Amino acid sequence: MRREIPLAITFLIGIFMLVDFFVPHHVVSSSAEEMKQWGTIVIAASILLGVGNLIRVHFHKIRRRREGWGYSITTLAIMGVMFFFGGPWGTIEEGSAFNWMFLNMQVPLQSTMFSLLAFFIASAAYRAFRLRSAEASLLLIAAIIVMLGRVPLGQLLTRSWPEAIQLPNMTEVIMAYPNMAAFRGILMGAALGVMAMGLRIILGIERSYLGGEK
Amino acid sequence: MTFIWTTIGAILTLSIYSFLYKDNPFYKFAEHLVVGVSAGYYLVIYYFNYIHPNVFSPVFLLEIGGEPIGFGSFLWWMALIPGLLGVLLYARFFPKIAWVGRWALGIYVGGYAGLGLSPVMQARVIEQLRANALSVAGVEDPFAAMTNLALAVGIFAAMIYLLVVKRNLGAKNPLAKVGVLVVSAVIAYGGWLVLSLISSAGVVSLTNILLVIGLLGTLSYFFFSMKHKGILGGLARVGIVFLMVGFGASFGYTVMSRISLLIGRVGFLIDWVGQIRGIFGA
Amino acid sequence: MNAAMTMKLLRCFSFSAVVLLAACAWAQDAEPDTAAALPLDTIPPAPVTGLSARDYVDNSDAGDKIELTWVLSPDDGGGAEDVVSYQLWRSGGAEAEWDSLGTAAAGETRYRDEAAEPGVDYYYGIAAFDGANYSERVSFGPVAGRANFFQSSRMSVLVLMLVFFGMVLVFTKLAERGADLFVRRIPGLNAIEEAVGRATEMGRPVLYVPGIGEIDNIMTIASLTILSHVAKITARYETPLIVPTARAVVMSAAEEVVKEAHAAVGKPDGYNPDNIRYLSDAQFAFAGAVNGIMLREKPAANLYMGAFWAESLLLAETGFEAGAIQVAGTAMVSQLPFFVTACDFTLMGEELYAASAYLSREPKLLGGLKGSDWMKVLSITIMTAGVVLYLLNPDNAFVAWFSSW
Repeated sequence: MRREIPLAITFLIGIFMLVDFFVPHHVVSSSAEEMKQWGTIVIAASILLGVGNLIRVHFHKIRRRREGWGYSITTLAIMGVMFFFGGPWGTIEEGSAFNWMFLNMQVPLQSTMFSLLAFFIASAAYRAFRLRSAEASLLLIAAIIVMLGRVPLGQLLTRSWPEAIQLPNMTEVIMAYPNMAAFRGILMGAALGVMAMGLRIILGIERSYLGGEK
Repeated sequence: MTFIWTTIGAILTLSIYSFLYKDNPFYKFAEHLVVGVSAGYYLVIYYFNYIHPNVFSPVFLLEIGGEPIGFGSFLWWMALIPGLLGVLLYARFFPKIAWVGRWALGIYVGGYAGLGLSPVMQARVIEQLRANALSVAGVEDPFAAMTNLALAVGIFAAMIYLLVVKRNLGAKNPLAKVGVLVVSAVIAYGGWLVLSLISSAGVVSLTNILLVIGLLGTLSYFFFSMKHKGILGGLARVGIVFLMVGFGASFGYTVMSRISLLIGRVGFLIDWVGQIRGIFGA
Repeated sequence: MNAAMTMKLLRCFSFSAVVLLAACAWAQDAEPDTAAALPLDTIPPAPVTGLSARDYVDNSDAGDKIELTWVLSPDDGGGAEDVVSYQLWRSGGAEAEWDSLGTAAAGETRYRDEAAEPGVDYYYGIAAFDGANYSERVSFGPVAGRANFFQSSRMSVLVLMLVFFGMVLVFTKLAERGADLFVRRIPGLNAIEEAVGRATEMGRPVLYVPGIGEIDNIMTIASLTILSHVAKITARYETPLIVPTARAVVMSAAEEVVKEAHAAVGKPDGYNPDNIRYLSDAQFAFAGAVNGIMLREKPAANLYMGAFWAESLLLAETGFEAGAIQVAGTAMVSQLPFFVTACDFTLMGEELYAASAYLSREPKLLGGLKGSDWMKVLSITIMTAGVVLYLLNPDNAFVAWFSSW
């Protein structure tokens, strides 16, 4: 029972949503919309699970005075402040303290973290350069051609060469053909993997995500 | 006031960059800060954007978007049920009823699994296949097209031959492999150049046939139920060649966009320095 | 002055006079024509032809949409170039009053009536309009909107789906009956086991990142299956396993998976709930925090399995610099290049799904792999047939079908 009911629900809902793609009838499509809405609500409701976990982990760290416990206080304190300003008695409108903290702490921190990628992509390229396998060399050659082909420097370097091997033109050919072919191959293979797995989920064969079998 | 906030933003930005040197207290502080801020942020935002308008307001305040609804009406139930499903997620904390918690997950995962299947088939299989096969549609002259096909197959065969032969000879030296690949690439590229001298339609068709061969090779690489030997082995090798060139190309393609992100952040810091100079009258 | 000379002069004169007169007449004609054409135009444009109306089917079909199509009036763009718009009417019966429905601009051949009562028979009328006169009204009917139960344009998807599912199910059944299905060893799996083994030897933790996808993402589910396998190994050897997550539901599923793995190998007490952590829904806050774990808790093996976006390289580079063995697996095409360069081994695309099927070693799941392979054979056949037939004759019926299936 305990296992069958969730699996039966999964099966029925899965089949219903699968059918939705082929059935344009408004009764089906509006019910499917409603269920997607339910999904977002379930996910939104789960945030408390996550925050609960975060509080517990940091709380344990502080209580046991594990290395770096002081930083855990930062995390919990700032979370409390955010919740205080944005909570039921607060406001999240533009200009509110909540919004200010979001715009001046979360946004710059996130975009700075994102921009670290500029350095990391350089070190990754350097690493590829030192790899000595045939595959890595191919990757590197293609990367260099495309990288140079997309900046004015590439055009400048090769402008006296025959047209077919000027860097911007080679970039275009590499992007449109070998890259596209590989991209499609991965996409199609992965799509088949997704479909096989989706079918297994609907049929209840794959249930690792449900956890605890007992 | 704005200046104070910008300063905080700038200090946090510099703290993150200090990570490039090594892990340090500034980075640790910034990292723990952003985790806390975002946890508080999502807690509040998820409530106000999803839970409040779709569950709390209809069920308890009896209104949806300002419109009143009846207690026990259809819309009321449609708001209550997902709310209860959300509550079910927390059943796992009570061992006796923990299994009920899987209902919500079952609905969610099953629903999205079903939802995803058909669009995946359409967009990632059928459309890709069609685009790939019809890519030869630039070919005007069937005779030229067949010649190109033959040429492409020839180059293709040469590549496989070279790869297979080299392997059988036991050329372990990676430089030898590079040599083979370079030779194959030169042959392919030379063929393409020769063709571009002959006709413009020829160029279109040959490069497009590269698409067909590339897809064939890549798909062969993803064969799991046969040993990669013989023809399949050769095809899979060709697939790897295409995969690596493709990865290199998207790697190279991404570099510039990542650098422009960095430029954006540096611009923010420069603005901040400008503000400091403005305030202290430098 | 001789007669011949006079004649020449006369001819020249009369010729010039005619040209002049003609020019005057033309100039005079041209003037009032442009100025007075509109009020004086009493000639209606030619009517449209081939009006037809059909029930329009879209993703949410309540039977309230009817699409009209027609062939342009010969005077629209060509002929007398005398059409500015089309007027459309609708009526509830052959003899009923015409109600104005709307207008379509010149050059349009399509109009969608989105306010039809489902199941009511309608008649539609259309006339070309030149700014002053309506052409003769052309009508079409009856036609009724119906809520449809099948979207016929998606037949090919349905057929291929059924073929694919059929193959998967047949091979699954065969596998259950004990047929020996060969599935090649996926090299990345050895790499995972080696990485975990090394972490155990060094007495350092294993870091398992299940991506930042939500649990509805199939990559995340494949990742949880692989996590279950990894957790059993780490539980057996009592190696700490840290699982940072970016989604609360994934965190809760990962908790169940790891807890169960400990129970399965008979070491339920070894489970440490503090190692399954929710960090942040925010992408880079998550990446930053995982980087922190890598540098401070020093895992010897980092496994990245699931859906990753731009954070992939942040994680993989930091992990590399921290000296961990790294194995990645994702079907995100845009992130594969970064994992391939920064990790010791990468499961690419379908390999991620195949790995989860392979690890479970259940014959049922291997059937799925076999089915996918046959689907690839089918795809390659369709593509090759399309190419060859096109090259033989671009006009043949198969090509026409292929471009619109």
